[in-house]
Amino acid sequence: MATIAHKVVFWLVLLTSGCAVLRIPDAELNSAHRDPSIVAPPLRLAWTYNAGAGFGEEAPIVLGDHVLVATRNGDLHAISVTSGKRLGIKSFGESLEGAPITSGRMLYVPVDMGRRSLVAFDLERSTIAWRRSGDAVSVGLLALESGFVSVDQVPVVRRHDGSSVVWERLLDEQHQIHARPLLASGHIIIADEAGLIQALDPGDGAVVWQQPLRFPVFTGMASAAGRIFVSTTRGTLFALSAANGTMLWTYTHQDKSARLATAATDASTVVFGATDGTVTALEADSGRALWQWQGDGAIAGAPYLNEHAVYVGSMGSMVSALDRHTGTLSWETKLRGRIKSAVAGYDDFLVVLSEPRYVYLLKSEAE
Amino acid sequence: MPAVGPQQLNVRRHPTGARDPCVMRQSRFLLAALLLLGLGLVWPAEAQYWFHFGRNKIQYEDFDWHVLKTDHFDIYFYPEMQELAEHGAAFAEEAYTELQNKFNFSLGHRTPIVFYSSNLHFKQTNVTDGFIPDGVGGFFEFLKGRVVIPANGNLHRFRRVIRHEIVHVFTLNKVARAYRDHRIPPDRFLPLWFTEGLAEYWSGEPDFQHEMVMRDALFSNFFTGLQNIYRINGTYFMYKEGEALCHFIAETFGEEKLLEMMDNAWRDRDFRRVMEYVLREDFQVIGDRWEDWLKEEYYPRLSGAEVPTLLTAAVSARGFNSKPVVYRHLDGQRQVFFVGNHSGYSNLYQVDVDDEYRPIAKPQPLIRGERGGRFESFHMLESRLSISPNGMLAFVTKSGENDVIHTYDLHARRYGDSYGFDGLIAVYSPTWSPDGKKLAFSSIDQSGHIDLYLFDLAQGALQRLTRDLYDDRDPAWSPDGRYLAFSSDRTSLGHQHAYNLFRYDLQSGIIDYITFGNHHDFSPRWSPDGKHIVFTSARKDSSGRYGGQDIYVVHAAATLPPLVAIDSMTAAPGTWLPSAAPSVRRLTHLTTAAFDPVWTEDQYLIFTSFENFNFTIRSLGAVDSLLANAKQQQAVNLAAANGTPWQFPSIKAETQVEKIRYRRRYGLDVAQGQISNNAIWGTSGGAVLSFSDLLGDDRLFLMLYSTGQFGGSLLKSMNIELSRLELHRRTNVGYGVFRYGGRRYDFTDPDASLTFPWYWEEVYGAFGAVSFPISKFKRIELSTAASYDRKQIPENRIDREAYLVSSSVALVHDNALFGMNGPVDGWRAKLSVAYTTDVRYSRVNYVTVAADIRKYFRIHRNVTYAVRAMVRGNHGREARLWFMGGSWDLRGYPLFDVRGNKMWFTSNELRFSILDRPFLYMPLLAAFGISNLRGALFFDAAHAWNDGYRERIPQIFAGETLGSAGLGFRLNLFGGFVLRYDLGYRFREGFTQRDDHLFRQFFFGYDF
Repeated sequence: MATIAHKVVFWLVLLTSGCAVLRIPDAELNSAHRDPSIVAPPLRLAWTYNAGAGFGEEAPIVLGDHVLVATRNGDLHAISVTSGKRLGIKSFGESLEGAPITSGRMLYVPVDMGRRSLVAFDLERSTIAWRRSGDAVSVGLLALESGFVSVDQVPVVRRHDGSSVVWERLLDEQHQIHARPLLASGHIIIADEAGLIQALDPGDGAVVWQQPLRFPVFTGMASAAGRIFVSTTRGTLFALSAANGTMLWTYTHQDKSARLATAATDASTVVFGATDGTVTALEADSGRALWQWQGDGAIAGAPYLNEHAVYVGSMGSMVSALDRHTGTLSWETKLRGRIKSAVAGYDDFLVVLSEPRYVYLLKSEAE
Repeated sequence: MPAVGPQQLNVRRHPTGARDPCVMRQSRFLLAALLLLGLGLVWPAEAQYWFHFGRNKIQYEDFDWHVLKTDHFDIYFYPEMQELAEHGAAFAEEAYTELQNKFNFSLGHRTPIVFYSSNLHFKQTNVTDGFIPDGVGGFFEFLKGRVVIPANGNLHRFRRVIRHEIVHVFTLNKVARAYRDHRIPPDRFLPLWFTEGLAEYWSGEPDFQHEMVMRDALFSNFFTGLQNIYRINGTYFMYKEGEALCHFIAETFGEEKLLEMMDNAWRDRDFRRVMEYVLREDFQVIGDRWEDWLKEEYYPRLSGAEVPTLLTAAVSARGFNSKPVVYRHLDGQRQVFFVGNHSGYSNLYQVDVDDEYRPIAKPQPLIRGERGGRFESFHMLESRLSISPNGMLAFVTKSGENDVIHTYDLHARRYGDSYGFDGLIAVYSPTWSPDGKKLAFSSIDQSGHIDLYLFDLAQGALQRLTRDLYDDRDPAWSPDGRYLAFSSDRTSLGHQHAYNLFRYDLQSGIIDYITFGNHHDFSPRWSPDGKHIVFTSARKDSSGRYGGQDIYVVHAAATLPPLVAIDSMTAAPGTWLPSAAPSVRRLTHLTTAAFDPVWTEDQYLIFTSFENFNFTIRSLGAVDSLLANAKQQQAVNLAAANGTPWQFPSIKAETQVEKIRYRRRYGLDVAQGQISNNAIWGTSGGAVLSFSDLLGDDRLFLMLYSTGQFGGSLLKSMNIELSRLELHRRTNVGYGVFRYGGRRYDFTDPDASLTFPWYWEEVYGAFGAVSFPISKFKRIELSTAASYDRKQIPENRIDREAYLVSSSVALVHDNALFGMNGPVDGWRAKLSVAYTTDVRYSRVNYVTVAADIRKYFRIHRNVTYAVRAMVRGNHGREARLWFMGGSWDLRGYPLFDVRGNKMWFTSNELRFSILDRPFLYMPLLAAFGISNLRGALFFDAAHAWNDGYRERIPQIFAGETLGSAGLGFRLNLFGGFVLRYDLGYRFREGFTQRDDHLFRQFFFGYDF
């Protein structure tokens, strides 16, 4: 009898552990991040991977040969960049909306449902290091030099150092946070859905400055060179000084009912899509319009911007590469479903998430 | 506007007293009927299974469908309405652009939108099998994602309905995507108040009807709060409350929260929890805040408002009443006529009134509608009545394919002629000329445009007065015979959906303004002296919301300097140049709304009032005094009416988008599989697949079913049927082939054992069926089937082959009015004759005759006496048996137990209400889906026999008269599932013996 029980336990353990294996070798964890600047059109489809569920708004992350993709049914997939094969999968039980972050060998995963709001996963040992109970975390985490920042649905902002909370700050409970926090000019930038932008001191969470935009913010922010770019749902994009929150300039879209998607930016240009299918590039210093391109289908995810091109995915299922300087279409391809997530670019490839549940790796063919 | 010469429009006159004017082209019938008919064909003697009555959905028109392929939609239309379809295509694309922003979402597929040019054409659609009543603006069918919308003359309305339905398309796809992304089974639905409320809210600003209903709900105290909003599920009021709730959420929490509720619908099966999560408030608090918000919005408007029931006297206050007219007979007797619905059927009523318009008798139906093809339905909310000076009443009903103007002589108390017009589909609001020789009316033609027409009765000549895209309605003939006053959106503020009053000069053909402004000025009628025009108007107040729809009076042009206008035949559009300014006086300040006022000779206003969600006919005296003490008086600023007449965008076929002819492509409708296991019959299983084209005109069915018990018998026991239904013509055609095989358990087979009628049968054959609807209420059914039949009954050593041909003809009538548990009024009947013969061996040869008549006498609103009489007979060689028993016919006897080649049966029921709509006052019951509880006293009697009437066969109760009497209870669950519990005594031997014990039967199903 005992033998049978042992066999049952053995097979159960084997089966369940087999399903949960997600391990990334130490060598890859410590390898330098890939160069995100060289992917150039045209691209070709290298592989497609079925992740089994839909994706949140944020971009996947790449570690060594691993593409890490979180899904809305609670799975975290590790996919080989080289082959497109599954290298591992870990179920966190509930929806994963915000993107995880890595720090050393630890993967911190925000969970969007239930009482297990934050999970620290040891990628080398493939074990859960710790869990934090509390309200769900729907937006991505912010990695700091030491520790990270989470914002839950209450909303409470917390700075974590490993499993311990350094400080926490309760914000206005009437307004949720949909934008992933940013680190800019040494401040943690938080935007609530009513459009109140706050800068917190990373040391103690104290409010450094506040700027009420009075425009709803339901998507992420972007920052570069001491500027923060806040997209709103009512056709306006704001540029703020990260240092003191002063308004630098505003851009009003031609269709004020359009929802602007999370912007992508570098020191000189800010680029964003909108639900009317346009992609607009502005001069980061002044907000002056550089170009605008009209695509097919709403754009909800952040574009990917590098020295060659702007890559954007649309709900018309298209991935398009636009000339960074003129906005002219240089390449595009149609995928199997809507693209609602941000496009990620590394080395010579793009990772694109599309409905209904596919991960695409598009490889640059440019010389 | 130009006068247009007499048109080449054929006028169909139906002679005086014609009983059935259905000489107009008509067509088609119920899908379910044909399905059952097709199945019944195989064994025609089993016609007792054909309990299908039902009305006919007639396909009068053979539409030549085309498709416009716009960026995001496939627009289905027919050539006659191409201009309208081009507008509709532009409206759809315009809505898509806006909704893509609101939903933060793009549709991943092209959405099919089917347009009809009028509601009467829309009623013929096969996209849904259900009947479409008046007032339905369109629908979204979510299985195939089809949107179906009629234009009804009003382009603004058309535009709004298109937006409404496209909101549904976005909502469904958005939420389905959220479920799929999270791997949540799509078996949960957003509450109807939310989906419909959002569709209303995002299709345009709240209109005056919304304001009217919400104001009334608050003032009359029938507002249903958020906690109990499920109680009004599916009602018109739910749409308006849902719209108000979405408006509240958007204003209070931000419009983005509406989208958040869809995005987060996956979080909880209970939408209340989703609301709490998104709005960050307790559900109760959300409801309380909404009520407070509404009170703040509406209660301040109560100041100075008059409640119609306090201000006016009732002429007819029971049930639904509208469109009154008044007639004073030569002897001074006054009568008010109106269309209404007091008991389920719509009728044209008359009520005698005294000299102060107080009713001196109960309203009586003068013309009964909805019982036959002639008066198929009244347009109760749209078409006014008119009475000529010599007492000829003119009214409109749907009569076959189109609307028809009927006349009725109030002196002679008989019908006059009826007039239908080829090419004119819908007809509204006829108005008599003062000499009683002509009728003016508005009408929608094949193109979907509504215009004014003039019909000379003596000459039979029809003249079209206007021809444009504007919504011209409610013409009223001036007492001097020179002018028609009418309401139209041709005003230069029409682009803001304004309606103003206009005057058509019948001598010059010139149209000029009577009123002007961003209002909804409707229903003009002249005062008896021709100096004034009384009308209703809904106007926005300072807050931007519509106030009550009140009664106004404007000086008619006859007393004013002539207006200067330019004939639009020669002038560029938009050059109406009115020069004088009549004044408008507001006579009422109602809490809710008034409709269709009539100014009587003795200075009364008779009108329809809306209050407490009820339409009643009311009177208001002393018009002179009301005029002298008007609530408000202002000059009409006609000088401002110089703007360019509005136009709507359109997407031109062939130049802007591709236009192609429609070709049928079949898509899957239903795929259903089933496996069952029974202790006697073992395991059996099968599947049904059905396919249809996008318009639902052509349907294919494949049925596979096996009763095989082991490998070798799987194919031998395979039942296959492939059939096709063609529904696009008036005459419906169905045909198919079949193979049935395997063990059968058939009580009706004359050769099988009486106690355990088991045998083996194998049948190969084909069938065809035709159904021709005479009217909505009558049809003829023809069917034939040919089959090879081999039957084996080992116990009786029967192994016979037969080549059967069977044919049947049936006449069906059904105008029964259904309550929640079954018919409550009207009657239905089916007479059928069939002949079945073995063309090779003559082993089978019998005739079938069956009659089933059911009549329902509505004694009181909640009490119906129902009678059923049925005779059935199969006579000849191998004639099959009929059966009875069970809760559906002969109560007290088990199902199938009473059998015979011939039988008669009668049933009498007194049906009465015990608990009506208990969920309204006992909300706890709503959770159990309890819609009502009714009782029935019943008495059944039957006699079945084979060869001799009194030849006894005890096993099947043949040869004796049986019966039962008792009491039953019916409980309707979820509005559509009826539980039946009967108890009573059985009687046998010609009612000379009564069983000692009570029988009890529990079953389900509607009353007969």
